[in-house]
Amino acid sequence: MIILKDISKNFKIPLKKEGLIGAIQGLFTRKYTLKEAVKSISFCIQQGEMVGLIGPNGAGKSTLIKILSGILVPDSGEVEILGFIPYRDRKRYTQNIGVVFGQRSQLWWDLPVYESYTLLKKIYHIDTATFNNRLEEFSELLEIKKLLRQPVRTLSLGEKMRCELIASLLHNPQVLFLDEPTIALDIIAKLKIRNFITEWNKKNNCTVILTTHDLSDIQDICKRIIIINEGNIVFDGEMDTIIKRFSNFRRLVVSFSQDNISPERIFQSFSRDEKVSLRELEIAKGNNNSYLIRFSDTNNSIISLIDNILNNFSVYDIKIQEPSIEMIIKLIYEKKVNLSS
Amino acid sequence: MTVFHYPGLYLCFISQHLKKIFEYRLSFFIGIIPFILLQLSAIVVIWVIFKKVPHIAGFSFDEVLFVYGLGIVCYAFGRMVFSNLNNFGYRYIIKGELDAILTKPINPLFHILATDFSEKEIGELFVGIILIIKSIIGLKIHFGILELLALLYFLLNGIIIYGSINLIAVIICFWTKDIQGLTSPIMRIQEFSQYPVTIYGKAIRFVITWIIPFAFISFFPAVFFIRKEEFIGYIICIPLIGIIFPLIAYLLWLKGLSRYESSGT
Repeated sequence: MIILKDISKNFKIPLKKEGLIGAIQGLFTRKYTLKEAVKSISFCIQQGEMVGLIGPNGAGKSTLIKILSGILVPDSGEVEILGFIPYRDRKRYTQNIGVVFGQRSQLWWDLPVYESYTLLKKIYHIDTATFNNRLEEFSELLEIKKLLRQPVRTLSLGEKMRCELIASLLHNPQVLFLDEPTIALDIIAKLKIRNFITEWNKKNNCTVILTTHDLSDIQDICKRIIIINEGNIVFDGEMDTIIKRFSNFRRLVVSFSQDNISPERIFQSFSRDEKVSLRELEIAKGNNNSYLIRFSDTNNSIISLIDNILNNFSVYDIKIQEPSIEMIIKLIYEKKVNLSS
Repeated sequence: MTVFHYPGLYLCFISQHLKKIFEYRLSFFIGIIPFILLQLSAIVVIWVIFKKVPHIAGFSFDEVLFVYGLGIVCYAFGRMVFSNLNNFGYRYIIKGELDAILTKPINPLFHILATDFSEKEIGELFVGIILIIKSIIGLKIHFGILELLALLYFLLNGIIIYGSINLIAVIICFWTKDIQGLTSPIMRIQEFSQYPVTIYGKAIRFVITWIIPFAFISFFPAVFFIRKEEFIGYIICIPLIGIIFPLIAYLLWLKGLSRYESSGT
């Protein structure tokens, strides 16, 4: 159970002047700008929920997850997780959570993976039988058995991330925080990690909170998402709502291999029915011989649309663009999409 | 996790570090040589000076060697145990590795200290011990079990004071967010305290006694064995400094920790 009430966090950022003289001046007088990283955020998460925290760079996701995991002390507001106040009851609290930072390792760089795990075993007081069982199970599931004797520094990014994940789960935490766990990973590595997290959540009813700016991570794993922008919660609700609302904002990018294409010609190729069902249609010329087609996709007319284009023109390439998080946030702000219903 | 688990945990960390050393044996031996040479050259300088004059500020050659030897042992031990503090600013504050430390259910300061251990000072340690033995024989100091216990206590006390000073010097990084904090200027001053403090002027003496209490690490403990009466007031203060200074350092550490801002990812 996670309860957050009016949590705020500001950072003082020193304004550094340029050059050596500026640096010397900075020794005596420093000016600061105040950055409000998180502004009065409240939410509640039940045990066993899987929640995605998304938002553009600098939205406050990482700050929030650092407050939740007890690293940062919030400036104001209340936070209570599993009955603990994270930054105050740090020792007892951290015994019950697992944290993975995609961009930071908690394994010992020079040591073989297995040695790192034995240190964690000591740190978390895991008894030997439990430790061996869990390690056996996890390394089987995540296919890292062969890597256990290798020094961490020799692992690839994807291998390392799987090892990190195990490191954060050996003590069977009740809450798992994942800060961009799939950053810079290829699709296969991403899938392995996603599947593992989903399975593990089902089995242990552990709460998972995940930040990312890859929407597909969240689609696969989370039922609920919280969208954050500029330190505020923009949306907090079911993933399905978002998917439904924003599938309208898919765009089709078509590169034609024939000349003499114009938006009018594309439009004319549509059947009468399509012209009726395709509302808010926009066709714009892109680079080279490609065209951007945007429309409000009410009854999955995208398929018939593609069909139509392929029948009438000679096409070199066709792409469906999903809306990016930046675009979703923009649309929510401009109130083009109503999420309240 | 109670206090009693920490020694065992520390050994675990250290044994991991030792495995690394055994893997790179050659680098270990090459690493300790410069430190031994450095100390030997300093001893040669002291020896050359005493060729010309019989006493410095009333201290004989063997007395200076005793003071110097105890200093080497304390500082070498201190640097071995507290070596990871050298990386503190860069590794933990600027790169934000403190994040991972703070998500573990053990004392963060302990975790940082246990993470690294310097073995390069082991040669210096031997030089120091040999100097102490040589000067004890030369000075004909009575050295029984009680003296040995006192020496071990002073050693532990000295290491703790050294660590506290080093910690205070790097905690500044929480506020300044730079790499070094005040480590290098403060740790330079340490060199003064390896010689009898009475050879310096009042100002320097005051600083290394009461502001940055390096003199309490090895000099005052050393005179306990050779000139108790002359420095009795200071000698009484040794245990006090050994309690007060670490306490100040730890409170500052907690204060700094609450100001920790991590680094953006």
